[in-house]
Amino acid sequence: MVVKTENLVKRYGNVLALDHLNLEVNEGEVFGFLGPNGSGKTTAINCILSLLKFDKGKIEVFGKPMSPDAYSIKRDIGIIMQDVAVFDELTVEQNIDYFSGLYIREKERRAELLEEALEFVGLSGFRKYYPKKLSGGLLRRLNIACGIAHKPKLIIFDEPTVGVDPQSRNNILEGILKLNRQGATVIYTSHYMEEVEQICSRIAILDKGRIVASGTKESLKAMIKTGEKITVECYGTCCDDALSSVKGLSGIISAYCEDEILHIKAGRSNCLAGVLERLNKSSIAYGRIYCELPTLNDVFLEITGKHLRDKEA
Amino acid sequence: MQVFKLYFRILSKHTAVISVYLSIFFGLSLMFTLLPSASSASVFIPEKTRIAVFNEDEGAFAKALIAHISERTAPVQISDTKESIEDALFFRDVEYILRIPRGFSESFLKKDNKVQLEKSAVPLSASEVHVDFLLNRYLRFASIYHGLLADISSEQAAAYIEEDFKVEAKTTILDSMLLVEKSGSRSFFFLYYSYSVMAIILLSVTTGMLALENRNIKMRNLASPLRTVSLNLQVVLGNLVFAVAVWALSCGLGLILEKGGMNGRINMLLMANALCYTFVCLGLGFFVGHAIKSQNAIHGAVNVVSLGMSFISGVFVPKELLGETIKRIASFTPTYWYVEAVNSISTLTNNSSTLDILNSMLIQLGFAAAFLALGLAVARHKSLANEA
Repeated sequence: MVVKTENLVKRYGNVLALDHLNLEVNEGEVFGFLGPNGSGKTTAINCILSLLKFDKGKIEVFGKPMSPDAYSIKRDIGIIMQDVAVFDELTVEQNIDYFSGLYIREKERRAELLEEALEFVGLSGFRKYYPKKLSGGLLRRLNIACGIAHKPKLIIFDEPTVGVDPQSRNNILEGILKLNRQGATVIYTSHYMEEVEQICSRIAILDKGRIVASGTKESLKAMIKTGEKITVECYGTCCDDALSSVKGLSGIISAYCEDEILHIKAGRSNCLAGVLERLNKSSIAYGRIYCELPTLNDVFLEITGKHLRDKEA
Repeated sequence: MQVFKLYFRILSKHTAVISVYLSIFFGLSLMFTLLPSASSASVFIPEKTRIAVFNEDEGAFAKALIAHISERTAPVQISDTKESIEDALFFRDVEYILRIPRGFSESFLKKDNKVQLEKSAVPLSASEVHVDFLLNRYLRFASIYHGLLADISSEQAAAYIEEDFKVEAKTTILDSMLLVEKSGSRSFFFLYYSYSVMAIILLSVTTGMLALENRNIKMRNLASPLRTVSLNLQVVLGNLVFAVAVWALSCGLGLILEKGGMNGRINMLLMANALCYTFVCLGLGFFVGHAIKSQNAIHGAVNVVSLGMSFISGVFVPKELLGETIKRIASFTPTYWYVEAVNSISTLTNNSSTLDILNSMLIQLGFAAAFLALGLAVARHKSLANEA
């Protein structure tokens, strides 16, 4: 076990940020911490890293109790913060060298690691640049390089893709998988379910400081009633007619109309044929029809009654 | 020593600004040190009072008296009206007005004292005493000559008197006086040091601390195996090395400018006082570094604090010209005590006590400790705020 928390409780005044959090992260996995903003992801990470005092509970990292002076444990941890944490006064290579120098004293070894880190994040051509001259995506890559240059066994990514363009986001996600393939255990926190689904082997869904569900993405999806989601584009005022015609169909959990679009949640797969048959029989004019498998957002929605992200996200 | 090296790397990015402060300081110091080389303290030149004379007497004695006085004063022409005389005295166009009434020569020679000289002067002024002295001296000598030599003419008596007054006492300027004069340029150097060193150290300490106190960077440092004690010690060491280097460089330049012609005791005191003030700046930098939130605010804070304290404490303007209220307010700043000590040291003689100077230095160290404590309190408050 790389990380283990038992009944972790953290309060900010009257607000319960972590509510008896129990967590286990195994060696070699990419563990996803999924939850909406304010759910306690960053608080949990800060407690694990001993950057925050907690009120109750126990934390073990690499099988040893974690504390602010557990320097031997900290030596094997890399942290990539949500906000870029680099010095504007230092160049790309000076920044990486400084942060790896906090872990490794030998200058020659640091020089090797610097080259590897630059290569890994694709910043070799920008080594003499100052952070202010880098684009947002490149800056994020520098942030990552500073956290992984010393080749840690456990790497914690705290929402590293917030405000990053899709191309840089893909680069970051690919990089995380590459680090995992090289042997690092990864804890990845995000409120972007697609990212977590894409790279994490195991996921814990957090809400109000509690883990509401955990497991592989398949097992999480299997926990909910929704088997597939069907979307039907209707013309004119026929949406309500379509809604009446599919109601009562076997396997349908819920259906509703919104902006002339019929949304159907079905409890099992292959409901689409039945829906089409009903619509045809009722001579209802419809346009395109989509059928999707449930997402982690559906899992979160069904468990907590709310969305993982605001609509705009 | 990663953090120690980092501190100087961060400072090196601000070399331009620090160099500007240093260049202005050294440039002005050089200028002020070289300018007083044509010092007036090594030569004695008697002062000449501006005087207006209205002679209503036609006698030769009065003419000889005017000639004598005119040579030793600076005669000024003004109209002989009441308004003109009052205005001239009020605006200090003249400091002394002498009126020789008709019949004065005759009366003086007869010794009947019926006609006296009339004067108007700036009350209680040194110039009044000076001209009175010149007149009395001439009249006394004239009285002696006319008393002893019955047939002597006024011209002849004037010639004798002029001959007597040609004998002048040799004026030698004491070394201690020259030292006080010399200390003028040196005290400027050390007075201006207070502004420069405060600006430079505040700028550098706050810049370094702002970078390291950035929340995310701080968390990254704390998440690393670097011991917190080691991190803090390296920051303190970086600040200390920089501050002492600035002090040593400045004092070294001060010594070079003086070309070694100084009193060793005074030098030591000035340097010790400057070191105390350097520690004050460090403490203040530590406090401001914790209190400030952005790079833009640094320059504003540096200028407000360093210029403000310098102005009210008598760095740029002599203390004598400052109002009592300003001085009372200034006494709550460390710069005031630094300036107080510099002024005391500059006029120090071999027999003077250094108790007041040491007292001022101790007060400065007290300020340094207070700023440090304030900085620690702000740091503690911020740390608790992050936890809450």
